[in-house]
Amino acid sequence: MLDSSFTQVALILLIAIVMGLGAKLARQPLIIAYLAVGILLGPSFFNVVSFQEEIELLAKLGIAILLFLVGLKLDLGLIRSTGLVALYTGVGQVVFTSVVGYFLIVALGYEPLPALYIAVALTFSSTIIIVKLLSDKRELDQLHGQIAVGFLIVQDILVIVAMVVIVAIGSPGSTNSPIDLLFVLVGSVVFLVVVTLLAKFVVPRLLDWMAKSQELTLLFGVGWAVALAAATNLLGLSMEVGAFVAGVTLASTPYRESLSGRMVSLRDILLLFFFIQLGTSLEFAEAASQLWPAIVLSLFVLIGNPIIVMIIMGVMGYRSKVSFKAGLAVAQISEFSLILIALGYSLGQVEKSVLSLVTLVGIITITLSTYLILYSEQIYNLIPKFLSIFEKKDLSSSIDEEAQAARYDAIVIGAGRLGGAVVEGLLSRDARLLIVDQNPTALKELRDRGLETLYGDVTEPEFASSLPLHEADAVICAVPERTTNLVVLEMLERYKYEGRICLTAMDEPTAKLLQEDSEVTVIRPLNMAASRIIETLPTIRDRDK
Amino acid sequence: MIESAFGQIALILLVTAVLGAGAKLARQPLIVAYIFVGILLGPTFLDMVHYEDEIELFAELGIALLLFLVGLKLDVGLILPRALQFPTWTRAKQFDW
Repeated sequence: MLDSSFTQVALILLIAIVMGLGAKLARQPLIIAYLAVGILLGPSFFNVVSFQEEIELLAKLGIAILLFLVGLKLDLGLIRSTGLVALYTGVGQVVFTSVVGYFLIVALGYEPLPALYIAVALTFSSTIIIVKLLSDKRELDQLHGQIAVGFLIVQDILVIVAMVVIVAIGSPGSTNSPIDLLFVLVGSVVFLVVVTLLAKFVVPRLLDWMAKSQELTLLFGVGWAVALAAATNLLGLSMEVGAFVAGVTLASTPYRESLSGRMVSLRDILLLFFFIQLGTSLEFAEAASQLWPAIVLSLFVLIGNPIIVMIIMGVMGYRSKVSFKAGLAVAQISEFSLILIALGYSLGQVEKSVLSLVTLVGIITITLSTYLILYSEQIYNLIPKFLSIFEKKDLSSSIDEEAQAARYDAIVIGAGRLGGAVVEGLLSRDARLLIVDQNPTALKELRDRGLETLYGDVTEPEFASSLPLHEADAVICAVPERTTNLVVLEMLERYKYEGRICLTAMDEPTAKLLQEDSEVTVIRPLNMAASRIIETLPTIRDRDK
Repeated sequence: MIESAFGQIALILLVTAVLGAGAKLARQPLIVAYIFVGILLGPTFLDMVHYEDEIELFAELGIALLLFLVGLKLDVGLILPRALQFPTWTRAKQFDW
């Protein structure tokens, strides 16, 4: 019945939706649901997935796009804004977990090489899951959220380093022959030089020109990511590195936000297949034998990792509440941990049982830490006495939550005929603006005048969530399209935006719909223009009297 | 040289991006470029695509999504008289072909 790859994909997607609904009800990240689907459809239970090659291809594409997006969104400025604390906690926790973890795993009876793999895999925490959880709780802009995002970025960079090292020393053959190693080394240097030159001189111009067609931009983004991934793979490095580099090369172009907005949904769909693949490779009988080590290591991640972060932040003078909440962000392992182990498995360096072990640790820690983060406030209130040992005695120098000052007077959506006029008007009153549009040429003129601009489509949820809404006193949507205005209103309500909202309505029904929300000022360009015209006709006005 | 399915997909995407840019320059829809890529990489010329199964899966998924979107965006108002309509609005985007 299910003998075509198409029906199998359909089945996988259908079950993933059902399980995903279950995960959302339990307030769990979708990754848990995906792993469960894989286990369910894999050899342990129904054994219905027979098109391994197709699924592996989809999984690989997903990983390539995931790493591309990590590179694309790599914002070193974020690390700088939270300062050294991100660096210290990020690196400190990685060193602590890998060293202590290594001895713990050896004590559990593992060989040194698998132990090293597991220890390194346990150090990383999931940026995707944490950012999602914190943004749902609206804690991304709070101090602990900023610090957590900072050290997660530090860890993302360390993951890439780990992958380069693992493949360089781990690929079969390359360790034996110095010529192979030399080939890899020379190849990497040539690759980096070529890519840097392309990124500097060719890619930005190409993108400027391609941005006129959104479909072409997306195609180029995916193509660039997958092509560089395939290139590094040919060179004997891991494909993950190439995809990451591809992202970094596009990170400084103005198309960063819109590209990532478009590619995130592609990533989510394709990455589903990676987790499915992982789930199908988990054999239940084998996993059961790994249960004890999995529980021990999960406790290590759930308790050890947050404590080390709290100690480092305590020494730096943060209050225990901030360090506790930031520390919870490292109480789980990441999709990168799974990718790392899968990489080691494909190189023949670790057994399948290790893959099962780390998958189990992933399921346990992600599930539990999600609840820890969701109820961090309540948990903190239960145990503040104990936590105060992580605080400096002298708190006069302590670093507390900072009040966020508004950075913009207004965010203007749309730089077209109407938006442009609004911008000019506001500028003549010295307003600080952020201008958002999906037309690169309109933005370029404004950017050349030294204004802050953001290129992207506000109707895309991913892009909308990247807008610095809390830093603006007002949001003005100066786009005539009805749909855009409705979507913007819905988005602002979702983020509980508290500043002033101005929306545009070209016709009566839209105006009524927008006006239902009393907080909103509705701009009616046509009516306003019409009344101005009528005002300029004195004869008619006189007749009125 | 390019043996793996992943490498072939990379090749296809890259060639398509280049030819797609060419199509835009010639003010042609992207579909034209896509068909050209198929002819170029297919058995007639370079004969570089060997993972038919995988590509067929992608193609089937693409067709399913295309027809789904056609149905999703089908504006009933254009076919039915006003009295039979129910109020709908979608926020799906325009095709960019």
